[in-house]
Amino acid sequence: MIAGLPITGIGGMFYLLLAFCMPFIEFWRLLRGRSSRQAWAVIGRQMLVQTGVLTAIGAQAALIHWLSPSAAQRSQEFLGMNNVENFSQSQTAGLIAGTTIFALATLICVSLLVYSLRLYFQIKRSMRPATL
Amino acid sequence: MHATLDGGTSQTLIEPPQADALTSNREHPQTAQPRTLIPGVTVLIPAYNEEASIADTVRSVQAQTTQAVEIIVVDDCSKDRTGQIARSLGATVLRPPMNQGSKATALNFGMQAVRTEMVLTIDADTTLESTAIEHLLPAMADPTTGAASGFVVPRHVRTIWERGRYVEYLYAFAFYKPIQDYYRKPMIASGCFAIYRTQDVLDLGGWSHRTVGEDMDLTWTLYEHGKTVRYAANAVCYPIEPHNFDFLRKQLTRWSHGFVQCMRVHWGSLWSVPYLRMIVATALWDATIAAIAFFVAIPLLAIFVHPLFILLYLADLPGILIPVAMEASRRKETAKALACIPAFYVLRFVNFYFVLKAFWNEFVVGKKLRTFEKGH
Repeated sequence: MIAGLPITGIGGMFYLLLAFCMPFIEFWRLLRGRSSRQAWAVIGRQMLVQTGVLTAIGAQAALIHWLSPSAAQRSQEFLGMNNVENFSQSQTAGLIAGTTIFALATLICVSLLVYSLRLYFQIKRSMRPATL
Repeated sequence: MHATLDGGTSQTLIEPPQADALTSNREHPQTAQPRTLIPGVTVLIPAYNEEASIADTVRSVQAQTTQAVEIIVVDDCSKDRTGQIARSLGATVLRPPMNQGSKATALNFGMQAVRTEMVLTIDADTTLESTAIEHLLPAMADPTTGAASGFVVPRHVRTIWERGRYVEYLYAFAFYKPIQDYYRKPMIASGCFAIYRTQDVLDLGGWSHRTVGEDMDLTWTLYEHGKTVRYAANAVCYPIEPHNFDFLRKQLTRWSHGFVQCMRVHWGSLWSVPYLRMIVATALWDATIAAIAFFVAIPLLAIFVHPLFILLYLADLPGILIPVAMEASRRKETAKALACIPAFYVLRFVNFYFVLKAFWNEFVVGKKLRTFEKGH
């Protein structure tokens, strides 16, 4: 079941980053003689999917911006933007950049939390008295 | 322990233990006995009141390009002809003295008879593509691999719930799973169709019934014991998915409580497993905090700022559409998949509700799910 929000949540960004790391990891494996043709096929397909997703998100943003200027105007006012004459470019770009930065910052915070938990349980385990 | 009228079973579960007690609580005397294993695969099918679907399941296993050494059907004291039908098709039928009450205990009962190095478990309402086992076995070639599962596609795509699930599976198995598999950390070896190394399952004491998500529990336990789990995209199975809301409710309640209970049981050890910890953490975040923000913020913006903000609910449409369309195109089902997209959005709201309810019940009010209710 997918209870979360694909793409808009941090999961989307996390998987996107994982996918874009895959070619570098596989290249490292190739240098160590541990790469496989199957792995490159999976990577190729994932690159195609991720590029398609990014392109489609960009196209959707442009479409929404073009179709609903009043909504954009309202959101600009809501976000406190005053640069009305540059409305078209700044609003869309600002919203996309803001969302991306917010998702990335959240992902970093969650990562830090996860690593803190890892450290906490590691220390807890190491402090446990050895059983006879 | 008693059987319910809907074809499900219910029992009181063991209180989820602390993570420190993980290994000891998994031990079940009936599966821990040493035995000599022969090469090959045994197919294990737990079944309760499955006379309508068991024949298709057994026949699909018999039609495999790679034959199983034995097909064992655990007829968990069915009140219908499940056992008779399976026996008439040549399967070995085991019938415990009393209803086992959960899939985990039924599987453990069947494990006593497994004599092969690999054991493949499938649900009694699931059929396999003829090459499923052939495509799944290579994923087990590495001796460190403890389990592998395949691609799941709903057998029937008729009702809104089946349509939503169809898109959900296409998305998950084309987008999430291949990436998880590349990092050798699929979040779950799906219980409806998965293969295990018999000795690993025996060493871990079989399937634990401390949670209602026995497949996720075993997957995470395998990781914690240094094993890997794989996903084979070409190994395809076709389960029957909930066709109405009643079955869907039971299934989603079990799945969401299973996830929460697995979090609780594995809390101390989960964070030491690379990649899995982030996969679980992001899933947890998106399913709870991000979802609450999403479902609260958008209506507020639409009410107080501008009605067009409601379009933000479609913000992730491209992210769903592209992987789904690509996978559907490979399966030559593009039109069907696109037509099912709206149902996915409905199902997502329902999923979200059941996950939050599970968190609320398990963690806030302490109302733990102790009954195993089958909902397909």
